[in-house]
Amino acid sequence: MKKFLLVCLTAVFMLTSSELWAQERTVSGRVTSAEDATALPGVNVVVKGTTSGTVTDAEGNYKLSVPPGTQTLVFSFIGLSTSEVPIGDRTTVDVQLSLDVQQLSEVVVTAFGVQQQKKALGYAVQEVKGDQFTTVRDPNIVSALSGQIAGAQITSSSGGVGSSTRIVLRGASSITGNNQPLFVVDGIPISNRASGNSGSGGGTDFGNGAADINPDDVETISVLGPNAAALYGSRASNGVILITTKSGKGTKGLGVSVNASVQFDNPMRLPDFQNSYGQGASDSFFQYIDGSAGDEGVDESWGMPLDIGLEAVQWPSGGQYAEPWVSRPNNVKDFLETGVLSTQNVALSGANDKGNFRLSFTNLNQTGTLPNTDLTRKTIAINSGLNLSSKLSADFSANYVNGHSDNRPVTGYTGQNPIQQFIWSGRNVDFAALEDYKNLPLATTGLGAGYSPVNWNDRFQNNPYWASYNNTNSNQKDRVFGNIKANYKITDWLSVFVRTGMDYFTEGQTRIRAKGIESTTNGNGFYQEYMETNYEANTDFLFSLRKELTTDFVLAASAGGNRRDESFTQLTSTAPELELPGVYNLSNVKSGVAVTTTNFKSKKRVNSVYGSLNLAYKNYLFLDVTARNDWSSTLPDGENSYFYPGVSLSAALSDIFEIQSKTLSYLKVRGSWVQVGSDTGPYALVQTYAFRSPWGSVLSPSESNSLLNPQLKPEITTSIEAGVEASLFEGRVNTAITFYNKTTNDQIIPVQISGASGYTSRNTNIGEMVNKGVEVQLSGSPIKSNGFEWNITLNWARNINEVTELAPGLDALNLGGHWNVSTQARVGEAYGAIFGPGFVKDPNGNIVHGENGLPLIDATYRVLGNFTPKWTSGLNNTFAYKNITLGVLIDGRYGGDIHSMTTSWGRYAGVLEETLLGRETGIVGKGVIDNGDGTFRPNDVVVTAEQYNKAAYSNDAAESAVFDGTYIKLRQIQLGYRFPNKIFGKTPFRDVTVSFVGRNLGLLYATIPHVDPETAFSSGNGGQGLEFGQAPTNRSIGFNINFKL
Amino acid sequence: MKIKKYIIPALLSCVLVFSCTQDFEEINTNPNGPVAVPAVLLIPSLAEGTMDLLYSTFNGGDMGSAWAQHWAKVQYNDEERYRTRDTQFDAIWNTLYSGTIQDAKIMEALAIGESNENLQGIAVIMQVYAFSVLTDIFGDIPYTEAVRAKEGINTPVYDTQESIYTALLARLDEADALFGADGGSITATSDIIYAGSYAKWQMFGNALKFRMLMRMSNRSDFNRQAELQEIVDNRAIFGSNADEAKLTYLAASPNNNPVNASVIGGNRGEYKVNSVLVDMLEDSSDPRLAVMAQLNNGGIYRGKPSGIIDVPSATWDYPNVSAIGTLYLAATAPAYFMSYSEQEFLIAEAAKRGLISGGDAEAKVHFDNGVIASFRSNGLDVSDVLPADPDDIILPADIYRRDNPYVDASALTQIHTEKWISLFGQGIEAWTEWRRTKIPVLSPAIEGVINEIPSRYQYPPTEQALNGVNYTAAVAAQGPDLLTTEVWWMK
Repeated sequence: MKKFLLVCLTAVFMLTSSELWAQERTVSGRVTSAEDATALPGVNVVVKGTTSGTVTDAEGNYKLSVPPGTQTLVFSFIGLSTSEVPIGDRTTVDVQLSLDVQQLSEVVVTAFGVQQQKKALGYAVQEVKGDQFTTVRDPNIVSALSGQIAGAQITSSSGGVGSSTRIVLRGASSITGNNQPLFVVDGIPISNRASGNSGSGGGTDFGNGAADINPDDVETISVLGPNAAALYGSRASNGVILITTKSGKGTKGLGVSVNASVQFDNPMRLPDFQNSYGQGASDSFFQYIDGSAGDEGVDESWGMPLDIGLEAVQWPSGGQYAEPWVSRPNNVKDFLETGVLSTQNVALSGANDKGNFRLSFTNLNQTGTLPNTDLTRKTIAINSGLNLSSKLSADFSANYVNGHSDNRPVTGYTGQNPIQQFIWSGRNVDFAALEDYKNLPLATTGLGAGYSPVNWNDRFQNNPYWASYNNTNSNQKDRVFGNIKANYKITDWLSVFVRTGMDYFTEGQTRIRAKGIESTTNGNGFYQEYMETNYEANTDFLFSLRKELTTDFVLAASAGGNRRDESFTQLTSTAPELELPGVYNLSNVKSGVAVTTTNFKSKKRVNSVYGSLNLAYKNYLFLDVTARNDWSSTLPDGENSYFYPGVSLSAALSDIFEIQSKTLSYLKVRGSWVQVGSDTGPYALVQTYAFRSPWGSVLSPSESNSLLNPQLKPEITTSIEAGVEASLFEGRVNTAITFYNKTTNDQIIPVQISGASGYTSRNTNIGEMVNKGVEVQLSGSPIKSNGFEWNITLNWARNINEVTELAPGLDALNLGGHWNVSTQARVGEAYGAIFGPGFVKDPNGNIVHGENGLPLIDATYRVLGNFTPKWTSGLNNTFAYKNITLGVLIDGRYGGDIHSMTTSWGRYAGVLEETLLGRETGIVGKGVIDNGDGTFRPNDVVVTAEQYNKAAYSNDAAESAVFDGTYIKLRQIQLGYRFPNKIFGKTPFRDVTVSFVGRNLGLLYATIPHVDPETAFSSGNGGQGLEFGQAPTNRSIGFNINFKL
Repeated sequence: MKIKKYIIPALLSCVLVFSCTQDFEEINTNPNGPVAVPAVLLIPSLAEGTMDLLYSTFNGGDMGSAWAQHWAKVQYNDEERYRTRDTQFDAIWNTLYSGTIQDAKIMEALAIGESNENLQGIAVIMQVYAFSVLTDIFGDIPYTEAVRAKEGINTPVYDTQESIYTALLARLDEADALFGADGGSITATSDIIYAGSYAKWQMFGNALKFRMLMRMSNRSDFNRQAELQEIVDNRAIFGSNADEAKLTYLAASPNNNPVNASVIGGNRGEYKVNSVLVDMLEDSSDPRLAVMAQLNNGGIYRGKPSGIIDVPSATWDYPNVSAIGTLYLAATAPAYFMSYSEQEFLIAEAAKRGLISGGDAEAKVHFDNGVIASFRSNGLDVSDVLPADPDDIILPADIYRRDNPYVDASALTQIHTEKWISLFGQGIEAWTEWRRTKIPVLSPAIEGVINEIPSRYQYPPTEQALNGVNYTAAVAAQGPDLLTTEVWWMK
């Protein structure tokens, strides 16, 4: 935004500045930013005490004739501290300008793209610059926000290519609905819908919709909390991520910029496997027979000790002869490949007084660490503005995204996921030897018999390489989003715009399961084509008025309306079993089996009118009133109109009471109260029959298990926030603190009811959830001297969430779950209680063991943890010295539990390091034995390690696998060097910057074993807090170069 | 002012456009499913939904056939050792209530609306069938307030099994009276059980009534003998295997038999035959053994006893224990609501016990009918009447019948034992009838977590959470919510 202002001011300045001055001598130089050493164009350079001066050009260079005797030049620019530089006899004066805290609250983008003085805002708005995303790369822009925003809980699901990322601002507010903010690009909402079906039991995560936003085209991201976003309507009750794309504005003539990067991905963390015992159930014998019948049928590692000179008949010899029984410490690491992420962007931009344009092309290629997984994404972005007359202007922006993947990884507990196989495995298995699967004999047992190559175990598992290359989940996505807008200036105080925009995408997914795969009917594989289209169109208009009522009072008001139309279609065709191997066409369905085809369509419309009134007094006291009314097609007649108001107040106390000092230069307090009403999805009112899959060719309708409700009414979220912003120590320290309380009532929820009622759920307006919290932003410049500068920004946010009410008599609602564990909204607990079977405990909290020495499981389930973190934080340090910059971002969270089935099954199967304990001597479980008379004695029964681990870690002993998800992560490092332009001489290269970058470099702190605590099965509510066999998070290291021509 | 002239109307018209709710009803009309259907279209969902559940290896297998000791598993045998999985209780509860009973109740209302009494009768029978399975496996369950969410009842109270039986039997009388040639047509393609024959549905309803009366008959206060007699004397009941109530599955997934889908399609070969069955059939040279079991890798029939934690082991492994017979693993294997042979064994028992008239003579007729029907269900040739000349008795089934004739002194044990054999594959019914008769004598699973064969299922955990008050009252009335608590008709 600074640069935008800059250009405007430049223009203004150029028009008004005097053209005449004496030419006694010439001083020239370059003005750069103290923060990042970039060139500062448009800086005013004035001879002190005169009106003589100039402005810097696009490269930050200036040349100024000064009268004799000139001693000082004044360098100034809005938002930056004014610098008075004594020039002496110098003819070259280079200057660095740093951010001015007094004006730090410059303009920010708020609702409807309105640029407002930050001082005037009665609510918190946070802004992140686009260049934060284009040096260190994360293919998902939502992940790239990690650590940068106070109060944002960001969870990257996994390290699988294209996987989704969840973002929640100020805590979850909806019990079963969407909890993520609305994404708005250039004023038009776009879908963040997660496509895919990933879960604990398998499926593929095809990513969240906002991941299609190309970081290279992002100018700024404004993060609006619910209080700032109310004018965006229903979907803004979770806040808004407001993205402004780059435009050609401010370009002088024609500009070309190029950015290219390559990063190499490796697992940040893998489970700690044991390497002392091999496959099997017996510690004294192992013999491979046919892949299934013998000890190889057991996919566990409770077998014979490794590396002590033993030999056993194993799979590579096909059961023919004994081979050394040795460990393979790197067998999992070696299976995984080095992923590569490469990105190239070229942007062409230009501007003159008639308008501006920017055209950008970006190519992203990624290969995953799991074999044969990839992602490509090509983006074309066009942004242009045209000044048709002094009153009429038009803007156009369009983005075309073409995403493609030959294969995406599969999540969870399925044979498609190689990580699952590594958890249920023998530690002696040399997975690498399976890679040459094309030359291995075919399996003779299991469903793969005759079709898939032999594996170390053919009873449950396919050869993981064969599976990776033959069972694929590909997708193809084409997406267009953008808008056209006409702006008419009716008078100098009144203007109106009309805009229409849309977001349209089709996604095709193809699922192939080859004949011989263990997990399909008869091992016959299947073939599935899936196609969905998403369409959302928004047309809106807005009248804006701004008038100085008196010298003290300024009135700004706006009024407008919006029509939103959404439609969605889905078509799935499946050949459930295949006849001929290797032919992937729906017609190749097994004889006698029918191709099944299902489809779904939905539509929705929301009409809205809204307005706002802003009154400013002496530019230090600001009152803002907003109101919106929506009419939604999804609610019943009579309840489908809902009104929600908001009010906010901002007072710049330092201005009002004139208390600026060196210690305190700026102090502002603000407060806001808003409501946001919400509707529901389409077709939530009238009961319809569902079609079961037909009986042969006989139609089979059935009553749905969910009872709809024709009397739904809108949900209401009420959000209050209050904050203070201050600048201290001459702007060396800036802080903003915000307290908030957000309550959502009358939530529209499919409440689970007793199945004996005839339905398993019923749609009702019930429930209340409260989020209270505080967000703190602190930034400072501890060192700023001799060209060296150190800046710190710290954000920290505490959120206290409580489910305060569900339906009468209802304690909990399930959000998700796996095995015997469910994640719940439970009254009196924070959102996301992890509920399941725990150990029996004595009154002192010791685990009670049976007479057999094994821990007892309590038949009554209880709360074992909670996936909602208590606080989140990010710390960004940047260091700049001359042309070198270094940025280090650390982020973390405190709390947020995870139920880790990697630990459960890994210990059950004896593959994890912890299972070494007591292998030879046995284990005495820590705890007590019930004497049966109300007293307890210490447990003294020795059991085998296998017995103990299987009793204490399994699907029905969940407590042992619930871990605290607290972590501190070294999120990213970037080290950049900007070459001086002079070394490129007359070549066209300018502003060449080369950076060494690293992302997700490591966990600085975590208590959970084996896995990255930042994990989920999807970006949905039900995918949180649960873990099994995720594709490991990528530690990404690489290089970036950008330059201009 | 000139501007005002345009702006105010423009603003107003915009507001009108953006606030209109015209077309909302059309936009929000669901195009994906019908709001109304003809009653008969619900039969496929009722039949398949119910049997997919009851024949699921996780239900009818793990907690039916394994508990009746027809089957035994060589791996993953937690349920066989009475360590149950809560999610399966939920599955049974929710599928029968919100699937079968819900659809059947809607079908009843639709049939009344269509004045089709035959369809109405079918809808009543299916409700009774599902309720009877539920109460047999759980004991006291919601009945009078069940499946009434539309009336606002989210937390139905539990009724006693005794009162439910009384009510269900009355419903079956009601159904019997509904059927008739002028009761309305049943579209044959949709009636995937009887292809449109109201008469056979009527037989099923009455046979079911006989079964339910017999279920109550071991109670000392049983006094409905006359109704048993009335069924035998006056009502249409099964006359042969052609009449029995069964769903014959189709060859292709997803309409194949669930046991086929799991054991063959899903490669879950750990489901094997039990040594109790193998030993018994071997002892009596029963030719059904070769149908119910496959040879093991040693070329013999070898069953595994129930239980044992540490499997597979060298002793009990996939190759060395006999797999379930291919007839029972076939995609098109039928799933039985109630078989003709079961009806015949129940009549034989009633006659033998004097609950109906006819004594041993009558009992023998029905015992023979049952055994013959069972052989035929197993695809074995058998003579209707044993050949008079001993030299003509050459069919293995006839030889078996000759060697195991009805003997007055041991008839009850014979009837129960033959019924137990005949119920092979019908997991839940086999276990339920065993709970009533306790014949053959079975030992609890080796290394079971309880030391007896379960008397019931535990209530699903969702009931504790979603219907807590009524659940608590039911537990107080019936006894602790344990596998070992006997249901009313066992007491």
